[in-house]
Amino acid sequence: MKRKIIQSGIALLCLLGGLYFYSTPSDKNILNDLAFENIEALASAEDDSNENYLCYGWGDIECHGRKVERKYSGFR
Amino acid sequence: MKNFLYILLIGIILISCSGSPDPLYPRYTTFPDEKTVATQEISIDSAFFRYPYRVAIKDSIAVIMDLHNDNHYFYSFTYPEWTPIVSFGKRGEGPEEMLSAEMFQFCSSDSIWALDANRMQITRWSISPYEKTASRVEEIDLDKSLVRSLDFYRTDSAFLITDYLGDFRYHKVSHRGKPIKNIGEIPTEISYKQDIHPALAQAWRSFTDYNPKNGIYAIATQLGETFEIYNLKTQTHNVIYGPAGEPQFIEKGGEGFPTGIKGFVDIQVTDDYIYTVFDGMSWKERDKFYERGMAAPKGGHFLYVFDLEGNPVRKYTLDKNILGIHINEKTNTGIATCAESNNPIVTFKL
Repeated sequence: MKRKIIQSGIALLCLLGGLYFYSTPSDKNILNDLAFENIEALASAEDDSNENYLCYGWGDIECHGRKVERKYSGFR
Repeated sequence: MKNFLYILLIGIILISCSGSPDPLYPRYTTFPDEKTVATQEISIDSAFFRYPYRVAIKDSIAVIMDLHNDNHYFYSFTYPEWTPIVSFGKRGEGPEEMLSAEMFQFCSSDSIWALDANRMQITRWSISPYEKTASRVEEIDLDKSLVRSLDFYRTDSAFLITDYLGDFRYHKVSHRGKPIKNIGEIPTEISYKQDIHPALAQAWRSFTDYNPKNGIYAIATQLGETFEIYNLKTQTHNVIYGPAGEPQFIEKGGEGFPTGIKGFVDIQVTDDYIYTVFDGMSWKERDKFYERGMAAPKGGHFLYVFDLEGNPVRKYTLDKNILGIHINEKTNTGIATCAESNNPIVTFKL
C-alpha cells in the first residue's frame, strides 16, 4: 500500500513536470523547411543574411535602419 | 520518515503549481462597448502607394506618408477633396533627401515636421497648395547621444523623443536637438540585466502622441499590449497592460527578436480620448502565412478607445486592416491608411 502511494506520488510529480515543460514556450523560432524556403524567396536583395539575423519583407519592424515585415534570429 | 517524504512530496507539488508573482500594473480585459464598423475607400489614383503608413489632416491639407515608397515619403492633398498638391521628401542620399521617415506631425496648417531616423534629423517642410510646391525650410540635427530616434513630438518647449537604448522611456530634447532630460523607464514587470536593455528597448519600441491641451503624452508598444499615459500637466504616469501583456522577445547578441504578438500600430490623443490601432496577431500565426507563401496582414483591424486615464471605453472592429489613423471627433469620423486595398485611404464612422 505504501509503495503504491509512493509510486503514485512519483508518477504525479512526473506528470506535473511534463505539463510544466510542455506549457513553457520554446525560445526557438521553429519553422519547417517550406517556411524557410518561402522566407528566403521573399528576402530582399539587401537582406543581412551574413549576420546572425534575417530580416525580410516590407513592414514596420525596425531592423538595422530598415523597416521589415519579419525579423528572425540564429539562421547563420 | 515515510510521513516526512509524503509531506515533502506534497510540498513540492504545491510549490510547482504556485502562480506567478502579483502584477505591478493594472490590466484591462474587456471593453464596456463594442462596435463593428464598415470602412469606405477614398479613390486616390494620382499616386501609387506601396505602404501608406501614416496620415494626418490639418484644416484643408492632408498628408500621407509612404514608408516603402520608390520616390517620395510624403504626399500632400487638399482636404476633403483629396486633390493632389505635391509629393516631397525625396528618398535618397543627397543632402536634402531623406534616408528614412519614421513619422511626421503638422506644426501649422501648411507645415509639417518629419523625422528621419537614419539621418538623425528632424526637418520642417512648408506646403503651398497654390503653387503646388513643398519647401524644406528648417533642419535640426539630433544629438548623437540619442543614437537613434524612432518617434517624436514637438511641443512648444521641446521635442519628446522615445529612448533607443532601454535605460529611459523618453527624452526631452531641445529644439536644437540637444538632450535636456531623460524621463521614466521601460515599465516591464520582468527584471532584465543591464546588458539586455538595448534588446529590451527594441522590443518595447512604441508609438506616441501628445495633446498640448490636456498634457497627455501616450505611448503604445508595437509588440505586446502595453500602453502608458504621462500627464505632463499633473506629472502623473499610468501604465496599463492589456490581455497580451508586455512585449515578448528573445535576446541574442544584443538584438531583440519579436515573439508573442504584434501590438499597437498607431495612436492619437484627442481632447477627450486616446485612440489606438491594435493588431494582436501572434508571430506564430504570421509564420503560418509565410509557410503558405502568403504575406501576413498589414496593420490591425481593431480600434481601441481609452479615456485619458487609460480606462477602456470602446472597441471598434473594422472590416479592413489599417495602419495610421486620423480621428476627427467633431465629425465623428476616422480616416486611416490601408496597405491592403486598392486605395491608400479608408474612412469610417465612429
